[in-house]
Parts: sequence; structure tokens; C-alpha cells
Amino acid sequence: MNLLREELSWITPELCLTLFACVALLVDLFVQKGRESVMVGFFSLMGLLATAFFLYRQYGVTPPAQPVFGCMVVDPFSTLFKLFAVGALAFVVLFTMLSRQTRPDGYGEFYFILLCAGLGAFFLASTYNLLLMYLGLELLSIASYILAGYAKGNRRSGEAAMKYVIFGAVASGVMLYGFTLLYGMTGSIDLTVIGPKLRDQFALDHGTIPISVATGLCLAGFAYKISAAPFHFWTPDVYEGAPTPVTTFLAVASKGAGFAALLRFLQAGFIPDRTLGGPEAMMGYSDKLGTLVAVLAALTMTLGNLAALGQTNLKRMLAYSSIAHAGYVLMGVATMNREGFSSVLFYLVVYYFMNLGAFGVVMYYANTTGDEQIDDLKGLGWRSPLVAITMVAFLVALVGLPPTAGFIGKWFLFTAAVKKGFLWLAVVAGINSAISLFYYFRVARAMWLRPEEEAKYATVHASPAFAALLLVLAVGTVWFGVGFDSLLRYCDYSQNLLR
Amino acid sequence: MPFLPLIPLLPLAGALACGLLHLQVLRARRHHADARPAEGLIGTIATLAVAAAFALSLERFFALAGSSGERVLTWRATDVWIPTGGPAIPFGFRFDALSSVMCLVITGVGALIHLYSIGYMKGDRGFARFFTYLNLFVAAMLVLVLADSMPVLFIGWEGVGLCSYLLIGFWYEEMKNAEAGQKAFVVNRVGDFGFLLAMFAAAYWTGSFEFTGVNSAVEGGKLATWQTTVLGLLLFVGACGKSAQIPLYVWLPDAMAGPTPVSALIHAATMVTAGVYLVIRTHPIFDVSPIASGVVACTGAATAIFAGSMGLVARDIKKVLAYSTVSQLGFLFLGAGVGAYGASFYHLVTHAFFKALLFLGAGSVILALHHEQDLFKMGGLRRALPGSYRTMWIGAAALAGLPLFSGFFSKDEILAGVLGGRPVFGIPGLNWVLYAVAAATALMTSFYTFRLIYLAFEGEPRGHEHPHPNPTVITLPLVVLAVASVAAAVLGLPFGISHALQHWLEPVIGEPQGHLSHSAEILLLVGSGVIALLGFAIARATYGGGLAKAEARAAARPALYNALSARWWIDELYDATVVRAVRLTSFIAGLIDAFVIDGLVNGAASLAKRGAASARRMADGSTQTYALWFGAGMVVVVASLVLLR
Amino acid sequence: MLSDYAPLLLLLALAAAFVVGNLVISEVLGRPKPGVGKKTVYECGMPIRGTARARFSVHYYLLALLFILFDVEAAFLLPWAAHAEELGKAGLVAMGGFAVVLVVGLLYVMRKKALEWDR
Repeated sequence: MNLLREELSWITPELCLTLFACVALLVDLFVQKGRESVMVGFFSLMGLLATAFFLYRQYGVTPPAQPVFGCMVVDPFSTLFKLFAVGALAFVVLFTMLSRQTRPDGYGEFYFILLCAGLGAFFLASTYNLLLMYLGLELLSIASYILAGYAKGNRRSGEAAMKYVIFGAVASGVMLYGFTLLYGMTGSIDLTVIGPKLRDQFALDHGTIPISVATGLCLAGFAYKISAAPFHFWTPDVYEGAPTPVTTFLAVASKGAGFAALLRFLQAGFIPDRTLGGPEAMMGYSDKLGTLVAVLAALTMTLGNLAALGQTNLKRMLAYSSIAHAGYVLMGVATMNREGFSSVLFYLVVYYFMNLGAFGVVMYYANTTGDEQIDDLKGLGWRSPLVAITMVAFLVALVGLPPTAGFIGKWFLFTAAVKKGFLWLAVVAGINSAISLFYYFRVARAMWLRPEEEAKYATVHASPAFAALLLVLAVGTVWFGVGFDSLLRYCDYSQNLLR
Repeated sequence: MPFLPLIPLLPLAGALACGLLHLQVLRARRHHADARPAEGLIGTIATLAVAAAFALSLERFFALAGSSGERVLTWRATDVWIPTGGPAIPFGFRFDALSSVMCLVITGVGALIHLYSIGYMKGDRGFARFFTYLNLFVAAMLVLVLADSMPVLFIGWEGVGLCSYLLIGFWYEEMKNAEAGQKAFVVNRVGDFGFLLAMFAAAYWTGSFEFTGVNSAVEGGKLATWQTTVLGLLLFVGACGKSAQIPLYVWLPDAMAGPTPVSALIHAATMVTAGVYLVIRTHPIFDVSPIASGVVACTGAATAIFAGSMGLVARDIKKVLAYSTVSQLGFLFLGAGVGAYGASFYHLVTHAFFKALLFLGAGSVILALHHEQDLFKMGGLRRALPGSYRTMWIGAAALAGLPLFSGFFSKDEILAGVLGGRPVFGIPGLNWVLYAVAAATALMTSFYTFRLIYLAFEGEPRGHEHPHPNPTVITLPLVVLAVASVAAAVLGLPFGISHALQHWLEPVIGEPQGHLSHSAEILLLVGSGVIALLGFAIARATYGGGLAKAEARAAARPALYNALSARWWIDELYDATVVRAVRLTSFIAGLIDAFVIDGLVNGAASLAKRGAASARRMADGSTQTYALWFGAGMVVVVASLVLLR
Repeated sequence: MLSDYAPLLLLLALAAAFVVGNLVISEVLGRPKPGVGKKTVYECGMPIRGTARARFSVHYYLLALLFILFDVEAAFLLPWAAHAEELGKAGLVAMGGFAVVLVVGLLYVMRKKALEWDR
């Protein structure tokens, strides 16, 4: 019993989130019709706040890695990602409460599903256990499918959900097959056991074909989740069709959880411990894996940026931009070393701020006008200066220009890649950043460089709450571009996977 | 406890407030094209912001005067503002003997000029914009002088450059004004480059970005002579740009395109002295390197006489004052170059007063004559504008160095410093040459100053019969500055009667180096007086009798007159050499740009466009296509892992 | 390695051979004589009425899904019940949590009227 209590205390955040998800569901059942959205949303926020509190308490005191029930692990890495997910969820909940797209009656369960998806992200971030990793992935994915199709009666939303389900099923099947092969080779579903066993196999030099097939399949599954090329094709359709708060969730929280799982997977299984040293074959394999990821990264950012160039729909453009950003982040993954992983964490936090903000602006714009076209933004700068100014901050960060956090984040990714010897990758990424400047600034140009008279829509006031949210995000985007020291320290501390 | 950073923050807040008010005006103009700014409010805010900064500076000044020991107040925001691979860059202010006086001059003269501008800019559409820039300028200038490290100084340095650019081209509707602003900016960039190099070199060699660190490293002999020489020369390049010395002086006469209060504040009293301030701030470098200090002294002397000669024949009232400013700045560098820092700084302060006074007086004349600037079309204003006449006469007397006016004493100290100071380039005889140059310049100064007074105020009106009188906001600053131009003399009277400023500055610049005997001092003093009076007499003889007689005399010596009025053909020389070379280079660069770079860029762009089209085509919305890519991708990933070694 | 699986493969081959062999043998040896009587449903079903592609009410699927869901989850109770004593209080707490989640789900289903056939 004491042992149970001890172990349970390590997963208080998860328990808290589960509890509040149940509460949200019940509140939805018993609250007066028509007020669900507000009430349930409120309870969800409370739950997220409580969860964040428990996570915060865990942050400083966690030992390097605390195993829980033999299948989870609580360490600074997982806590950072959970905080990340909770923050993203909170913003998504707030966006949902403020959005019209998701406001019609009967949408109380929306929050429940959102919280369940968050729970999936939690598991994904804090496990070495292949089975739990898969379960977390499915919990996250299935909840996401429902969310993507939540705008009932909207054909695009339905299409998005359908495509998402199909590809999700294929990808999870592929990944599960990869997991199975790993289990078959090592007889364990625990990555911390699998890693040494694989090392032994490498040492025996039995050939690496089964390992290659298994990792290749797993990699394809992860690549799907983080929408890396060529497994990214579902992304624009789903992002465009889903209600905007859901898109925000998919682009930020879901992608972040995918990266968390990918990093853990690679670290535990395929990166030789430098202190122990590994067989030469394993070193070579690790480098090969890194190179493959680097190639995927180059492909992803190039395809994402090129496709974003010609988009006229703001949401679809941001979908492609999020693909391109997955490519940038993969640069850090490709290094397969401590510095690269730290830069990944840093960039994900930065990405969180700028993408939440950009999608928030899209939502605001679509809410007030029902329009998502870039060209119809013209004159917005003069009509709604606050929103337009924050948007410029997000765009500048997305391009990666100083003084925003986007610049610093890219800077760390680039240095990590170059130090590892991926100079070509850094060059490709540089060219890509230059390309991205064009389409991001098309938005800024539409907002500011057209006379006010051309504006398509009359003055649209942001509600104070909404303006405050955007402002918080914009301040974060700029603040971490200047005072990034503390964040960098946190990320480096949280990057406890590789020493 | 008044807080040191508040000194620049107050004008900055003023700038923000005025900027917001300007935005409000712009907004109002969308509905009423001729909406007017709330001039009273804006003017009051801006002036009070600077006046409050003055009060604060004064309070801190007395706190400093009352303190014992090292006599310095410091404030540090952070020791590591920008971490670098080498020494960290701190962010802090240093309020010591030197910067305290600079602060007082900047905010004091600044506040008066703000007050004056309320009258001068009355009715201008950009009223709020003007005060925004002006307040911003004061803030930047205060950061410049308060900085305790080179990078922080550089913030102010660039800030004042920006404001100067904005204010020169304030009436940007006229191409000429916008071009003048651009010229100032571009020429200043050359100087800025020198300053940046100096900053990096100093940090690299001495391991510190702070002035105290650099100075003590130099004084401690940690640097070789060639290093200090390089450092000094680079710093001087920066100073040349800001303070309009040969060969970078060309922007200052053109800068007169800005509103007259701007010329008074920025291009006479404060910003242009930043170069001299920098040299005095880093004086140990020049103390150690005879070559660097020699270059400073000789450039100063050459600029002084050269610019002075151009002032002799200029017809534009503001141009006369502009050349005079360049010339006086040359004096300051001459003094600094021979080690007479105290004298140089003394003249800097007095010059700030009387040159601001002269500019503001000129402004009042220009305003009264509905923006007429040609001296030959003025005349006879003595009766119409008695206030301007009297105050400008005092300013002119101070500039010319008529005995007992402040300029007399300060200029004399520089002249004495040249003779008694350290030998230029280590060659004692050169000091005599420089003294002769300086004395000749003083004669010219006296001549063109009173030429201005005679042409503008005496004789018969030539053109404008009915000037309109000036309001009090305009005359009041004139009177205050006139009093200051006389009273500033007490800061440094000869024979040890009062060396207030010199003693005050000693913590920064050390003991005066040169020492002349009392008899020599008397001789020099009399000499200075005679020179000034001689210039006055010549001007009176030439222009006292009317313009026609003067022109006849000029016609008798056509070669000299032409050379002078063509400004020694310097602009033409620049056109023929520098500008042409730049044009040629830019032409070639243009060709390369058009064919090579554009080709590359356009090629890249069209490549990107085509790539974008095919990337878009890949995502055609069909699930089957996506599945195909997914499957193919999976196979490729697995195959590459299996097959590649 | 792979030889470990040999008996399994053998078993698979035998099973396939048995099925296919019997079908082939009956086809070869038997002489099919179909007639009306032979084609009728005999003792093992009802005569077919209507088409096999009839539509079912969507409620049927909903109910079926819910049944499977609760059925499978209830199956988790059995192993616990078998070892309830050894697992003690800890097991009780864990199962209690599980049951609570189930009950919440059940409540939701009821409240949404998914269990009512006629609406």
C-alpha cells in the first residue's frame, strides 16, 4: 500500500488530468443546455491549472529518472514536455472558448476529448515502454481524429477526420510492426532493456538487417506523427479542415509529444552510451540513422517551404510552415548528441509560442470575418493594429529573424548541426529560411502595406481576453529572443537523456 | 534619491508621449485633413521633460561636488549585458566630472532650445513629430555622454546620428533637404566604422569595453605604441565623422537644411562636440601616442583655418555659422591634440552657449523675414529686431573673442595651450606653426562674425521692409543664452583667478600639462585681444559702409574671392575624385548586380516557383496519392537503412 | 533460429493439406445431383426472406459497440477477482479507480440516451 502510494504520488499530474477529464464529462452531462462550452471549458482550465501545479512541484525535485510501475519514467525531460502540453492545452481551451467555430451547442465533450488527448501526450512523453508508448500514441491519435472532425456538417472537417483516421491507422500499424520486430529480437518491450540487447547483437555482428527493418518502420511511424516528409501529406488537408483550435493543438501539442517520443526512442535504443562505449557497428549504425534523419529533415523543410509559397489560404500556409519547422527541428535530432537534443527542446518551446500566436490570429480573423484568405487580410494593420502587430512578431519569429526567439532557436539548431558536421544541412536550412521569408512576409505585406481603404472588412475589435492572450504569446516570442538564458538553462537541464 | 538613468529616461518618456500624440494627430487627419496638433501640450511636455532632466543633472552635480574621493557616481544595470567570447559587455552609466558638465550643457541648452522651438515651429504640420525627434535626440545624447563603456556610448552615438538624420530631413517634402540628411548619414557611417573598429581593437587588446578599463590598461603601459597609435587614429576617424573634421566635414554645411533650432542644438552645441568628448574621454591613448595626438592637432588646425576661410564669403546666414562651427570644432581638436584638454573643454562649453545663441538669433531673423536666409537681402534689422540684435551682438563678440567675453578667455586658453602644450609629433617647432594658423583663424573668425552682424542688422533694408516681431518664447532663450555667453567666462579666467572648470575636471583629465610664465600669458592675452579687435575693425571698415563698397573691394581680388566663394572647390574635388570613383564602382557593381546577382536571384526565384508548383501538385488532396507516397517513403527509409553502409 | 519454427510450419502445412485434400477427394469421388429438395434449408435455419443487404438501425451498431466495450473492460475484473486476496488493499484501490472510470462512462452513455432503443 505504501509502495503504491509512493508510486502513485509520482503520477499525480496524470491522475489529476484524468480526474478533471471525468469531471469535465460529468459537468457536461448535468449542466444546463447552452452553457456547456463555458462551464466545461472553465473546469478544464481548472484541471490544467492543477496539473500544471503538480508538474511544477515535480520539476525541481525529480531524481534524474524515477521509474513508476515499471512502465513509466518521471524525469525533467518528461516534465518539460508535460508542461509544454499543459500550456498548449490551456491555450487551445481558451481559444475554443473564444472561437465561434466550436461554440454551437453540444460541444461540451470537446474539452473532455481534448484532455484525453493531453493525457496521451503525457504518456508518450514519459515512457520507455513500447506498449505504453503505443497506447499513448493511440490515445492521442484517436482523440485527435474525433477533434479534427468536430465541426459537424462542415465537409472539409469531415474529410480531414477521415483522411486523418486512414493515415493514422496505417502509420500506427507500421509502427506497431516495428515495435513487434524489436520485441521479437530482444524479448522485451522496455527500451532500457532493448538498448543493451541491441548493443549485444551489434557486438555479435549478426548483421543489422532485422534491426534496420524494425527501426525503419518505427521511424516511419514517428515521422508521420511529426509530419516529416514524405509522411506529411495528411497534414495540410487535416490542418485546413479541422476547426482552428484543433489545428493549433495538432500543430503544437501533438507534434511536440511526437518529438518527445522520438527522442526517447532514439536515445534508449540507438545512441551508444559514451561512457560505456559501444561496439563499432553500433556507432556506425547510430551515425547512419543520424544521416537518414538529416536527409529527412532537408526533404521536409524543402517540401514544406516550397509548398507554402503558393498558398492563398492562411491556415493551409501555416500547415505547410509547420511541416517546414518540423524539418528544422529534425536538424537537432539528426545530430544524435546532447547539444542537438537541447536545441530541439529549446526550439520546441519557441515554436510553441510563435505557432500558438499565429494560429490564434488566424482564428481571430476567421471568427470575425469567416475568411481565411491571405489577400483578404489587406488593411488589417490599420483596422486592428494590436492583432496585426502581434502577428508581425509571430511572423518575424517564424522566419527566424532577430530579435525574436525564432532567431535564437534556429541559431542553436544550426550550430548543433554544423558542429556535428552537417554543414550541407545548415546550408539547406539557410536557403529554406530565405524562401520562407517570402511567404511569411506576404502576410505582413497584406496587413500593412496596403492602404486602409482597400480593407475588405470593417473594424473588427478583438475581445480584451483574446487580445491579452495574443499579447502574452507575442511578449513570450520576443522575450525569449532577448532574455533566453534562463530558458536555455531549463532546456539543458531537462535534456537529461544524453550526458 | 534621484536615479541616474532617469536623466536620459525623462526625455525618452517625453519622446514617447510626443510620438503618441503625433500618432493621434495622424489618426485625426484621416478624417480632417488639416487637424492640428495640441501645440501647447506637446511643447510643454517636451520642454518640461528636458528641463526635468536638467534639474536632475543639477541635483546629481551637486551630489557629485559634495562627494569626496574619486568624485564619480556610477550605476550598473548589469555587468553582463552581452556575453561575448572575450570580455563581457556591461550596461552602466558613469556620472563624473566630465559627463556631469556635458549633461548640464546638453539639458540646459537643450531645454532653452525646446522652449524656443515652441515659437519657431508654431503652425508646422509636423510639430509633434519635431518634438518627438528632439526629445529622442536629447535622450540619445545623454546616453552617449553618460556611458561607461564603448558599446553603450555607441548606442547614444548612433541614436544622435539617427536623430540628426531625421531632423536635417525634417521637411522631407523638398528633395534637397532629404538629400542633405542622407549625406550626413552616409558621411557619418564612415566615422562610425572607425569607431567600431576602435571599440573592437580596444576590447581585443585591453580586454575591456569600459573606458576605465581601456584607459588604465593604456596608462599601465600594457599596449605597445603602435597599438595605441592605431587605436587613437581609429577613434579619431570616428570623432572626425561626428564632429565634422577634414575630410569628413562636408555634411555639416548641408545639414543647415534642417530647422534652425536643430542646427543650434545638434549641429552647434551638442552632437558635433561628441567627437571632442570622445577624445577627452579616452585621452590616455592620445597622451601615449604622439602620432595620434599630432594628427588630431594638425587636422584640427587645418579644419579651423580652412572652414574659417569659407565662412568669409558665405551668403547664407546659417552657412556662415555652420562654417564657423566647423572651424571652432577644429579649435577644440587642436586644443585636445596638444593636451590642453581643460582648455578644449572650456571652449566646448562656452561655444555651446554662444553658438546656440547665434543660431537661435539667426533663426529669429529668418523667422521674422519669412524664411529669408540670404545675408545680402537683409540689412537694417537693428531697429526692427532690437532683442535679436543685442543678444546676437553679444554672441558674436563671444565668438569673435572680443576681450572680456567668454570666447575670449576660452580661445585664449587654447592658444596658450598650443604654445605651452606638448610638442606636436614630438617636434617643438610645429607648435609655433599651429599657433600661427590658430591666430590667423581667430582673425578670420572675428571678421566673418561681424560681417554677419553688419550685413544683417546695419545699413539699409535690402528686400524685406516689414519684418514681424518675435514672441517672448523666442526672445527669452536668447537673453538667457546671452547672459550665459558672458557669464561662462568665470569658469576659467587667466592668471589663476579662476580655474574652476580645470580643477573640476582634474579627476578625469589630470593636471594641466603646459605652463607658461605670467608675462607670456599676458602677452598672449593682449595678442588675442588685438587679433579679435583687428578682425572687428576690418569687418566694420568693409561692411560698415554698405554692401556696394564691400562688393567693389571683393571684385578687386577676383581670384581669392572666387576661390573662397567656391569653397576652395572642395565639393567639386570630391565630385571629381571620390564621387566619380564611387560612381564608377557602383556602375560596375550595378552591372554585376544586374547580370550575375539578379540572374542568380531570378534563377533561384523561378526555381523556387517551379519547385513550389510541383510541391503543391504532390498534395492534390487524393488519399490514394498520399498513401502511395507514404508507402514509397516507408520502403525508401527501410531500404536505405538496410542497404547503405 | 528459424529451425525452431519448423514444427509450427509443419503443422500449418498439414492443416492446409487436410482441408484441401478432403475437398478435392469429395469433388473427385462424389457425383453431385442437385435437386429442389436438396437445396432447401434443412433443419439448420429459416427460409430466406428478402435481401441480405437490408439496413440495420444505427442504434444497433451503437449498442453493439457499447456492449463490446463494457464486455471487454469487465473482463479485466476477472483476473483481479481471482487474486483479490493477495492483491489486498492496493488492488482494491486500483480496481476501484478503474471501476469509477467505467461508471463515468456508463453514466455518460445513459445520460446521452444511447441505451434507449426507442427515441
